[in-house]
Amino acid sequence: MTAIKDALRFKTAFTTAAWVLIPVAIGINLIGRTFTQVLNLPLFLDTIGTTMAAFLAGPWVAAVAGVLTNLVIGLTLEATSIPFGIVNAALGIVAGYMAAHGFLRSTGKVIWLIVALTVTTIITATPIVVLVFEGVSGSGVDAVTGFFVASGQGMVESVIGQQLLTSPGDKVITVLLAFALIKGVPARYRPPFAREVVPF
Amino acid sequence: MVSGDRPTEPFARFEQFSITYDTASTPSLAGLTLDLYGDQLTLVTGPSGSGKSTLGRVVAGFVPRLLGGKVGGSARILDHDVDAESAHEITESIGMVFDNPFDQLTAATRTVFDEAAYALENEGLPPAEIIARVLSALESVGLAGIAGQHPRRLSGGQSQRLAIACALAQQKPILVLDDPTSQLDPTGTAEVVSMVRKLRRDHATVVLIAQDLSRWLEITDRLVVLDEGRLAADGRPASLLADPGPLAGKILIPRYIAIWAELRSRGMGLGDHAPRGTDQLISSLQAAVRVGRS
Amino acid sequence: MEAGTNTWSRARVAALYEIGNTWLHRVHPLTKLAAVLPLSVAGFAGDTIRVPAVLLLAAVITLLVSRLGSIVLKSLRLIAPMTFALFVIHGVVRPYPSEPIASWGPISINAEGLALAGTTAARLAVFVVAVTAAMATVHPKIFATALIQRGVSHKLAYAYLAGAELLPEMRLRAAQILDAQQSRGFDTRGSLPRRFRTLFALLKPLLVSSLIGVEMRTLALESRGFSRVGTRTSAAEVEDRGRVLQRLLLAAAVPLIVLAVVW
Repeated sequence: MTAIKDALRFKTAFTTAAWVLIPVAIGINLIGRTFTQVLNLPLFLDTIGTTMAAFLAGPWVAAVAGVLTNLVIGLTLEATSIPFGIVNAALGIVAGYMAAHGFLRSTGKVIWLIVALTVTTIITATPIVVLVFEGVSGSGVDAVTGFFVASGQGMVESVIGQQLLTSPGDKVITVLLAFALIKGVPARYRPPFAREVVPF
Repeated sequence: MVSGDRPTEPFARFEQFSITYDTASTPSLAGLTLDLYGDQLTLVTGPSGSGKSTLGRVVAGFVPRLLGGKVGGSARILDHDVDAESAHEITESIGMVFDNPFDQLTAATRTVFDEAAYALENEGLPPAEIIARVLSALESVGLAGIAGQHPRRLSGGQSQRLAIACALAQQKPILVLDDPTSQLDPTGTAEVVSMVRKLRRDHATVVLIAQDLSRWLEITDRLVVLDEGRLAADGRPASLLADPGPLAGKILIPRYIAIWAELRSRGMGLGDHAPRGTDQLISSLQAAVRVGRS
Repeated sequence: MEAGTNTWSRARVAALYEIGNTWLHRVHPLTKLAAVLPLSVAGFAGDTIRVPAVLLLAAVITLLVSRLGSIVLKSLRLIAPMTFALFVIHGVVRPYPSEPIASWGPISINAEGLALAGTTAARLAVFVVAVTAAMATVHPKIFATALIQRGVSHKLAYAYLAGAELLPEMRLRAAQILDAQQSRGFDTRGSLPRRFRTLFALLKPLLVSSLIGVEMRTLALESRGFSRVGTRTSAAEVEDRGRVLQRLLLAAAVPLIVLAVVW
């Protein structure tokens, strides 16, 4: 159980292995996003790496992976991704805490985890999308937002509506893919936190 | 210490040392008693899972400090207990080269130069000294000409030489090479073998872990064979391999030794020392043929 | 699979940084970064397009005069899809109580919406141009060194740099896998879930091996003094200057934020 405590405490969470895991998580976040572009899916899948980091190394490591993902993408490719670092970090924290509290142990609990991740996305992303970007993201989901706007909804309601439609699917696939990746990693290569919280 | 003949003090002392990783049910090293000496090339071999990689990681101060595990007995490297707080000082004095040429790079640098400079920057050395040391290290592994190249554009052999250069730049007196050629093509392998040969000419202390002995025996001072975490054999390669029979299954007997042993068992007078390379086999064959003619 | 191939080729576009020696390259990296904040906040001052448009115009002209037109192009490429979405959602789709300025059947264009879309696009453009200009003119290593000089943890700097390096690398390796697969006839006609599974199965080994590689890289970094306590130096000497200017720039953002909120 010390592994869980260490991962939950900011001071002890950042081992060298955690720092090395973070860039890998950043890369996986980006691959996920490119994945949706290749298949033209109306999803983001840009937090697979953060979610996986949360399951492997806990909330704080995942939060840093999340913020850095958007900073790296923002400062090397697309400046507009920077504000969404808040969403990415919040998802990491929620996923990490819930993992530490046994929410990976059964399908029923994983469903609660997905609900929590969806709610987190809506709470953190809506203000950014509405206040900074006036409702758009420059991606496929804008069509969904546009549909709500056209039907006479306000901007906040439209963005929330769009997220209620797209986010749960996004989170289900994200969590399943994070599981699939962790499954591929033999136990001895997993960080101590993951050995405690990941049941497979 | 002039040669490996009369070592004074060992730099590594294992006494009844055992280690069991947290995720394993059986120990990776079990009751190992072994001393390792400076100015030698110690070749550690054994089948997969024999504990040879773990031995290397203990010598480098990584186990149990970073990878965890339950320790029995004792292991002292450079006067530090591997299970003590000060074990990080072992890591600071011992250079490590791994089997995977690319995973051991920092992945955070854009040039060969920056990669070799990374450790020295962490040591807080003045920039002028960093530049001088890095250039000389790259020079000695033959990479000075491509110091500005991206580390990912290197071949496997070049990448391994860069890893060696990183340790040289840090002026680490002892090197642990964990199967440094197992993932390389023949060209890369030849590059690394000649690099290690050069290190030995400069009296570097090398602990080399390898499954395929054939390229290494010529420069090996001492051969250590592990099997299931235990010491199976230990000695000079020429005498240890003079009777390779008992070691079959534990090590990959090089072809030149198998041929030598077979010819000897058929009564050919080839001496008591196993050849340490194809060249040695050929010269002892030539000598034997000459004796036969006269 | 035309669209897919396209996406992967686009994925190969290298990172922002461009080698050069313009005046902007010579400005201290943190001064450039600090300037992003007041500039982008200023864009939000007032609720018309005036302020962001003036800022944007000034920035674009400065960049063009400084022979940094590529930064303008890169920013444009990034901002274009958002601008399009803004105009469609606010100018065309969103219903307004006021009379539309033009309408064709169900589609009507509204002045209020156009103004909002234009203002938002200009604001975002100011931010994007500022960040792109700041980052396209600094070598990542110099940037990281400057940050470490000012007390940012070298471990955080490592994660940033490694992330920035791994990003194009993973994209490239993924692109190679996919291209190889496509040339062998990637199953493009299958159902979406089927294509999804195929694609994931192709990429999984790459991702898993990068996770397994974490252990070795951890040991290698330890061997290179990653955890060593004490001051650090850099072979690339970065002159530590512009502290006052950087603080002024950051301080300037405060009244601007107040202004942007109140105005």
